[in-house]
Amino acid sequence: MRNVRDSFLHFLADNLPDIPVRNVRVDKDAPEESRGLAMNALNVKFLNMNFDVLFSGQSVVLDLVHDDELTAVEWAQKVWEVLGASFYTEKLDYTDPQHPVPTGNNIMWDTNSVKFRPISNPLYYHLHAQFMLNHH
Amino acid sequence: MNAQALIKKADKVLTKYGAPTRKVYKRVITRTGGDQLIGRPGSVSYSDTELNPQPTYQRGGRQSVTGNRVAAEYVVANGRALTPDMAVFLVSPTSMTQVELENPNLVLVMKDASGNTEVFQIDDVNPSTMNGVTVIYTVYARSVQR
Repeated sequence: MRNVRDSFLHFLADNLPDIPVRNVRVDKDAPEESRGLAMNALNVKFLNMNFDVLFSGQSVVLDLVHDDELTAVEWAQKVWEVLGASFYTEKLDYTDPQHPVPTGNNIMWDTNSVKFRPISNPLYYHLHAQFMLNHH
Repeated sequence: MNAQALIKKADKVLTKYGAPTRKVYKRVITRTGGDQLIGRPGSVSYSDTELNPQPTYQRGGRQSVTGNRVAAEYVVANGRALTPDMAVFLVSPTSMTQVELENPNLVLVMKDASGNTEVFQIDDVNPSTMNGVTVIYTVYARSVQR
């Protein structure tokens, strides 16, 4: 599952150079990462892990937060173009982040499941999407 | 009395009645190298500065709930049963600035003479002002690591 997280985060960050990608997680040495959503960023959080001997699943949440609604809509379009251009990416082992190693497997998602929903908030514009990543 | 005089007076009171057994430090966490996006290790350094004057603090006291029932969720760590807890600090602007209090990579740390530490993440900051000058910060913090 760690390789799935690392690979998907880099898939988004490497293909969306104009959008800051951030992983919301508990990390005692990086307290800012656990401080909720970041403004003007694509926040990625991982939820359920469904382990299986054949196909495992990892639930992922994308929270696009921006102080300008129209920019957020443009960003959502860019995220969708990356996720919709293909339905999979290579699963890599990022133990050495400078030299990721192929694992021989892929991470897949259902492009029809990528749906951004607005969440009302008086402080910023917030688009939310949740879908599953499947992998060997 | 102007705000600066009030700050000096508050600092004296904080020094007189401040934390008696444990000292409070501000810790700035700096990461270099590695891959922050995926949390792969680089190097991490802590810079601890003792607050002067020391703040006063008060626990949220979830353990003090009476009755034969579990008052808080426990986690066992290093042979001790720990509970998540809140604390309220009264911090002088002499010892911490608004910018520091808003730094997402700054935490408060309590240390005792035996070397035990407890880390607090700042959840909220409420400045009390006089003539537009902050004279004391009420800092709400959550114990995240003991």
